[in-house]
Amino acid sequence: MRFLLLLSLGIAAVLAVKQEDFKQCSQSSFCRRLKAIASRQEAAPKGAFVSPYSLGSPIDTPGASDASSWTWPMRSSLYPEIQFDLRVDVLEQGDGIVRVRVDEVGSKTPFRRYNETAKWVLLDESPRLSSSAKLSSTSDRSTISYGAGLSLEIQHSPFRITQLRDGRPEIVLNDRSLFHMEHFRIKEQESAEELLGEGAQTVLKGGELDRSWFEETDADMFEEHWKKWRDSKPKGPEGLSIDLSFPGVQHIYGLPEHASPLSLPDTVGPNAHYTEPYRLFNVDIFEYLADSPMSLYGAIPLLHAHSSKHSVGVLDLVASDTWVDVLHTSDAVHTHWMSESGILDLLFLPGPRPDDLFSQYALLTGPTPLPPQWSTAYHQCRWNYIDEDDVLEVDQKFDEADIPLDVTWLDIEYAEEHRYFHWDQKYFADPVRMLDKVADKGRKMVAIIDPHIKRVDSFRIYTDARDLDILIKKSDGSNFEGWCWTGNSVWVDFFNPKSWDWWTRMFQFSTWKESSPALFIWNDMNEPSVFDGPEISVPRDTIHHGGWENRDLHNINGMAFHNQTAQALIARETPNKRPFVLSRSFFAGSQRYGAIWTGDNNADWEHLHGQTAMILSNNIAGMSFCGADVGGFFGNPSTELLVRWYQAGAFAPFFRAHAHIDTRRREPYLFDEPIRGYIRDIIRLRYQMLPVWYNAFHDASVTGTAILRPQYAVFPDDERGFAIDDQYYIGSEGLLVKPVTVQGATTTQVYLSDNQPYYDYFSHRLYPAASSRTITMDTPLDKFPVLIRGGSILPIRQRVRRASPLMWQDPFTLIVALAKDGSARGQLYLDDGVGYGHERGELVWRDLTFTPKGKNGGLLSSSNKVHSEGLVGVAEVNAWAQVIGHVKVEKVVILGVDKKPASVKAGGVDLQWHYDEGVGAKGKKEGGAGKLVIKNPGVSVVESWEIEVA
Amino acid sequence: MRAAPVPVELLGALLLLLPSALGDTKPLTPASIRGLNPALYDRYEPGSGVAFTCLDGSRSIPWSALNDDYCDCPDGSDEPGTSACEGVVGATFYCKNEGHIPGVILSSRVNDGICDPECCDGSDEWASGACPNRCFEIGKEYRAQREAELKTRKTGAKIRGTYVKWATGERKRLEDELEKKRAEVLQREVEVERARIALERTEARSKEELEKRKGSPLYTTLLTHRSALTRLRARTSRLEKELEALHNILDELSKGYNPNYQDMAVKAAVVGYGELLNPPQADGTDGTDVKVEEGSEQVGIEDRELDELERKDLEGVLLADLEGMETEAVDNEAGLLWKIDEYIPDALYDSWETVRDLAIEWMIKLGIVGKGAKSGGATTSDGPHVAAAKEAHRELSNQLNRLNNDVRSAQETWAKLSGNEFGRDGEWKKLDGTCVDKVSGDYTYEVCFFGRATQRSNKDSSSNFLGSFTSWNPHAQAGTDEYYTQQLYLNGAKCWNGPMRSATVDLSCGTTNALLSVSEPEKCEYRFKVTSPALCYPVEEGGGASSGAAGVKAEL
Repeated sequence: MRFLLLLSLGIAAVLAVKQEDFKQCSQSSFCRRLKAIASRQEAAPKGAFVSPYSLGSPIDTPGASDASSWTWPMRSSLYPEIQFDLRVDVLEQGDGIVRVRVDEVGSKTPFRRYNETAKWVLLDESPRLSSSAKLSSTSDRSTISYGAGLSLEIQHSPFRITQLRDGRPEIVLNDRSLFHMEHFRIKEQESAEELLGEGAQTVLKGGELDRSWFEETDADMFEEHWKKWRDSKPKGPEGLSIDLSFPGVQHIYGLPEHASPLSLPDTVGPNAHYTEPYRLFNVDIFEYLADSPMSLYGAIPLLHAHSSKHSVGVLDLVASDTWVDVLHTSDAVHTHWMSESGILDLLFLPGPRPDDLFSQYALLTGPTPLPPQWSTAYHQCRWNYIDEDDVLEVDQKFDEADIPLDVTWLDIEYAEEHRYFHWDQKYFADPVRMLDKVADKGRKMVAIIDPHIKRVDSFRIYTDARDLDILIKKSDGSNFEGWCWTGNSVWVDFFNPKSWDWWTRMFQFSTWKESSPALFIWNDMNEPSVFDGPEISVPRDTIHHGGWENRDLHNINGMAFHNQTAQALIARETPNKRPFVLSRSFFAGSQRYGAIWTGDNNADWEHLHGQTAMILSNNIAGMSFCGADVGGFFGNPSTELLVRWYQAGAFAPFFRAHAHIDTRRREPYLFDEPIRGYIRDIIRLRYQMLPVWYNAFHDASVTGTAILRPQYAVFPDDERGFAIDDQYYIGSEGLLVKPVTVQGATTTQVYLSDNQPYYDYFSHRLYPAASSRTITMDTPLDKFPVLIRGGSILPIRQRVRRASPLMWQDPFTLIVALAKDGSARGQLYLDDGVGYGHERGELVWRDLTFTPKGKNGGLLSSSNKVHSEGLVGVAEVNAWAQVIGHVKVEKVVILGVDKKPASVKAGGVDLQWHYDEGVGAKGKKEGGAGKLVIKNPGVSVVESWEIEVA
Repeated sequence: MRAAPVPVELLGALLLLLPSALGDTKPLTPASIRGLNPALYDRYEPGSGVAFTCLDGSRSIPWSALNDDYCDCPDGSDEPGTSACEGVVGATFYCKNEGHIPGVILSSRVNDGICDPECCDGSDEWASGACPNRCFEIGKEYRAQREAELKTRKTGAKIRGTYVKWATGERKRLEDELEKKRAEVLQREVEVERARIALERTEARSKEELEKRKGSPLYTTLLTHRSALTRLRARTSRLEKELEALHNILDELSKGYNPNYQDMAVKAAVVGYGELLNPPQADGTDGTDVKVEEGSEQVGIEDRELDELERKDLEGVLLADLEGMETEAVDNEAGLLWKIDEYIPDALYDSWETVRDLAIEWMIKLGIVGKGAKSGGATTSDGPHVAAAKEAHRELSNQLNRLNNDVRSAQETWAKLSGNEFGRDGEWKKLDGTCVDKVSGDYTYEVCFFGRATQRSNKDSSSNFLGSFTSWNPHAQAGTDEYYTQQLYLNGAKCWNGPMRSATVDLSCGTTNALLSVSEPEKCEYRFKVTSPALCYPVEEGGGASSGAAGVKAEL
């Protein structure tokens, strides 16, 4: 028997995730019960299934009078004695964001629903309310008018809320009557009803209301067993079912993180692509599938619904285990959200375009702050670089191969017995010496600090946390203990404010003496991962600060940890420096604290292919600073796969190679030519384009826009692009990228939506303007589609240094790709890359334009963008601008110039230039672009100037 | 995708037509061109032309475009002193480093704010001037280091000299031994042949009687039992092998599994295995347990007994009584004739054989000796005299084999000593079997040259076999210096969920044989750094000069 067990284990290791380690909807009693509502609704004759919920008359929300907030009493005919409140707020900012909340009130039990998700997610837990929204109410409906043509129609009975724009319904809550909030009840009273076994309905007693047409009860409502675990469920059933319909759309996006297409396919109905709902429940999943609705490490309960006419979004502030079914019909997309606990707290984002959704979401949850500039460069990771010599050798080998590198990473083995903070002296005798050596070349290191803490008295982090009494507790009040990398472990409850100062102190250089300003942090396993826990995490009935159960706030846990580590890094230096913390787990709002990655992927083509949609999905949900392990974490990629992965990785916001401890080493310098050269060129390309990335990060930090933008977000009118999730644009920089993710692909097709010329970044081949079309590009192993959209100006730095901070005073090259009208526009944002001086206006932000002039010429100019964008108090001349006053433009390349100019001048002085014959931006011909190259125009990046082509 | 600066398209001849590019013919000497390698000075002589031609000949540019911080030449030859042609393969900056040896760095290192040690004169950071000239101290340090290295080399070379001397002696010794042993072989071959013939004759005598007795039912029963026993043992042995393999797998799993993995199934297997090996104490005390085990051991049957049963010469048993009767006759009568065999010189042996056989035949006919004496050719079931003949033959054959083996191994050793296996001059022979070890982390690592590499736990008695010597550096030409800088020890014990363990031993010159460090860059693939005097080639030789050059190269 034992031997058989072992053998089957070996086979399982080859295959992917052990699905049985994670629940299916039918294995969770709340999901089973709530999904059954949908089954009944579907089975009922049309119109016969009517929501039992209804509203009374609205009142101004107490304490919020004169503001746009109203409250309706709500009752369910199933339980007339139970009272709920519906509250609707119209927010002041965001062009008409509406917040809808429902909670049970006046419960006779000691229980209350978790209502703190907003506290962790929203920048302002109670955002300012509009003062202009108007409510009109009759006995059967209330109507709120607000914003530009927006209204909220609230039908009292049966309960239903519709958001309309210009009279057209765009979001409907309770369209299918699936709304249900299980009220708190006392087990002893319920047991009188003779609870039957799993899935069975209650037997009705005389005089009881017949609720079986709607609600299901089962024996697992008060205690639940799954595999070897028992969930004590002290609060009993508290499920929340909501249905949201999006009329007039055929595409919904969001709900990251899943290894699924960007445009979410159905989970129910005749066209179901998956058999389970999309699940939002952060877990440590081993070898996840490349196409599955299973939950992964992060969860953002945000949806975009999009048509060529409008875009709307919904943010569901729920942090408990949540399953979402999706169903497309001919005129709408319907969603059914089933959560284990928590109040209903929805934010309706009105759009009307994807860009508006980005900024509305950022208003609520905050944008991605500017990361340290170096963190947008190349990261080299492996589980594990084993000792100081190994680290320094990797560093040295990159130099010898002339491959740039900014950050070398240390996985868990640097820490003795995985007691994080605690360097293993056997391998890292003098960490500061090593860090200093790495920092000498402008480089950084990242070391891992996981949340599991070895439970030994000799470990200070443990004894501190124990003595402070800030550990996650079991349901009986004792400290929760579980198994993770370090063996028997405990977990700090980062919801507890008492943990915050302490954690910050742990990172002070005076506390952690074996640390330095060149050392940054990686927070892994923060779902949290508990090897011997249910679904590899903590039991749901463990207790956090405030008495809340993990079930209530589970999905926030990783973010709470990520947040505190980021705050600690900010605080460790004076003046403050930008933190860099990579987290695996994330939630809505995590973008404020640092980067995330897509977890432990496999070195196969399916995972390479699938990652683009995953990264795009994260991007549209605000989590822009993300990437996937280059090369694949598990397994050994072929050289072809590795090269393709570097190409994809170099065009993701977070660019890190990583590998499992059992894999062969695959640092780029280890390969023979031509592979090494291919990888070197890709990494160098990333470095050349770092200014473009920094522009995009800056835009994201200001407007909340996605750094990688899928086709639908850039061309919201073009339906042909709505399902495309394997190509994308970088910020508003005019770069279109399509990673090659097919083995042996010698050509790749790219969809071009707009009527503009596109230019191959590498060859400068011009694809002429035309209405939407698909082009085919040659993609031998060292090529992949990187296109410049006509009308863009790219500022790049051709000179690549060992590490990106060394490039700060190198000159720029401007690549001007002319639109078909002969114009182009771009930007250049620069600051010191590490501090917060930019918040005081120490920055350079230039508007770069090329304006056609005369028959064949044009004017390239640089002007101060700070004023034009309305940022107040930022001067063109400031401390940073002075520091980089000597940084020049060394070259200008103008693409799509169809005739040789007569002269090129700056400030009346003739410049040196050269013209290459080729096709022009206005023409209809495909071919090498006509190209004007201007040498050393003698202009600086901080000043305003003009270059005239005549 | 070349990383060459984006669209450096050729300004070339066109530039020459532009007024601004013309007329700049300011005097220039190659030595005044920043960052230019003196080896290229002749290519940068201004001469009479107004233009500089890129070294690849691709275009001409005005002299003023040299080092103007803009990359005009596709080969980067116009910007030896700036970073403008960074990224062009081969684009470098030359540092004179007066007081030290000159250095060459990549163009990307010019003016990047880092004082590269290769440019100790600080000339690479000319824009900021931030790097002071440290060539005097760096040069001093460098020379001191070189001297120390040289000293090590010299000391090591002396020791190596003793290895070489030892190898020379060893070669001589082997040659002498070979000569002696070969002669012995010839002699022993004759003796073996004689014994063989004697044996043939002795056998075959008892054949007849044997055949008769083989017909008995007792014997057939015995045969059936024998066959059953053989099959049973085969099955037991197969099962034992399987059990052992499974034990090994579980042993490996127990030792090698990562206890932190979340896989509880693995943990269960490991715990279960532990319990299997050391059953948890039940109600009984230690003593009882031990007694039970002892008792069960007594019941068991030992391999030795089974071996004997299986090997028991059944035919011999059949003939046992017969032998008893004939022994004396043979010994007393024909025995003498057989014994004479041993004294007959080789040259006469054939004719003696005929005479002897005839004699014996007559003796049998005349009833002087029994039939059993007729032939030496039978199976082992023959009587003691046959067994004796057989034993004699076997003994002699074995001696011959041993001799041949000795010769072969001596020949091999000699060939290795004279070929590539033991170094340029056989110096490694002295170290054959020498072991070096090192405590690193929780383990002590050991490698025995040309033998095995092992990893022993410092916590318990467990150890892992990391591999046995397989080859010198497989990436180098056999016999070159580089060839001897690495040894591979392959095919060690298999890692759980991983490859067979292996160790790569990197060797360098040192005054002692020592294992300096051990690392495991990939799972179960170890890297040893070892010093040995065997790699300290004499300084006077070409090796010294080439090593000096290598030192300079490394410094660049």
